[in-house]
Amino acid sequence: MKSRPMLTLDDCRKISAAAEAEAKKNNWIVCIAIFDDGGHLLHLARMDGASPANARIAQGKGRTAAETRRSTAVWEERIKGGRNSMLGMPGVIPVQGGLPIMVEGVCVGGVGVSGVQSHEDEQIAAAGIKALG
Amino acid sequence: MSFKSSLRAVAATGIALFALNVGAQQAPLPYGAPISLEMAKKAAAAAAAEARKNGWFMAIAVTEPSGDLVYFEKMDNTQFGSINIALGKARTAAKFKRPSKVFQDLLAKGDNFTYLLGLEGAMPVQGGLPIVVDGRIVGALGISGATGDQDSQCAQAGLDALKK
Repeated sequence: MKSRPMLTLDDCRKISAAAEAEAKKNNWIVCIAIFDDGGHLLHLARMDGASPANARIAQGKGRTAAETRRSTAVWEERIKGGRNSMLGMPGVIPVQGGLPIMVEGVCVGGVGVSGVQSHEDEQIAAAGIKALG
Repeated sequence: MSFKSSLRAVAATGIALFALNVGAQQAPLPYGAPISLEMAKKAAAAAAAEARKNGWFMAIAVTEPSGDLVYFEKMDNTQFGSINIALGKARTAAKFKRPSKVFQDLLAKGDNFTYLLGLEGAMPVQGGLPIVVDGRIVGALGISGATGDQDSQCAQAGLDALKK
C-alpha cells in the first residue's frame, strides 16, 4: 500500500499565518483559502475589509490548484494563448492566485488567494506555502 | 424595563431565540458591521477547544451577516460532509437571524411546519448560532462533526468566549 503526506490543521494554520503576514507587510487585504488534495476546504481566513467575492474567488482558485495539481496561472495562460475551450473545464477558475502545495513530489492540497492583483495574490500564496518548510 | 432595553438584555445574554411564528410580534435584532477576523478566530478557537476537550472532530465556520465566510477550519479527522454542513448552519443562523435549532424544533412539531424545508438556505439542524455584539448580529458560527447536541455545545462555547 502506498502512503502519502497529508495536510494537518496545524500545517494550514502555518500557511495561513505566513500568507496573512505577507499580505499585511504589503498593506494588502485578502482572503486565503486552503484545500486538501480532494478539494475539501480545510481552512479559510478573510482579512477585515476583504469582500465576500474575495472569499468565493479565493476558494475557487485554491480548489482549482488542489484538484488540478497546478497553478491557476497555468490555466490563465492557456486561455490567453487562445485555448478558449478551457473556459468550459468543470470546476476550473483560470485566474492566477492559486498554487498547489507540493510535498515530496506529491500534491497535498492547494492555496487560493484573492484581494489584490493576481500576481500579488500568487505571491501571498507562495509565501504561505514556503512556511511549510 | 422598556421593550428596547429588554431586547438589549436578551442580546447581552446571548439568548437571541426568535421563533418564526412570533417573528411578527417581536422584531429580530438588526444586523451590524461584519465580524472581524480576529473575533471570528477567537470564537472558532474556543469552539475547537471545547471539541478537543471532549474528543470530538469538528468543522467550524464563521460567516458575516450575509452568510459569506470570514473564517473556517476543519479539525483533523473531521468527516468531509461536515464542511458544508458547518457552513450551512452558520449561513442559516446569519441569514435568518436565529439559531438553526429554531427550524429543527419547529419541524419536529409536525406537518404545520414542513414548509420550512422549502425555505432556501435554511438548514434545519442545530449547531448554528448568530453572533450578537451590542444588540446587533455581526455574523454567525456553525459547527458540524458530532451529534447535534454536541455541535451546539461547541458553538455555545465559541459564543461564550466572545463575552469574556
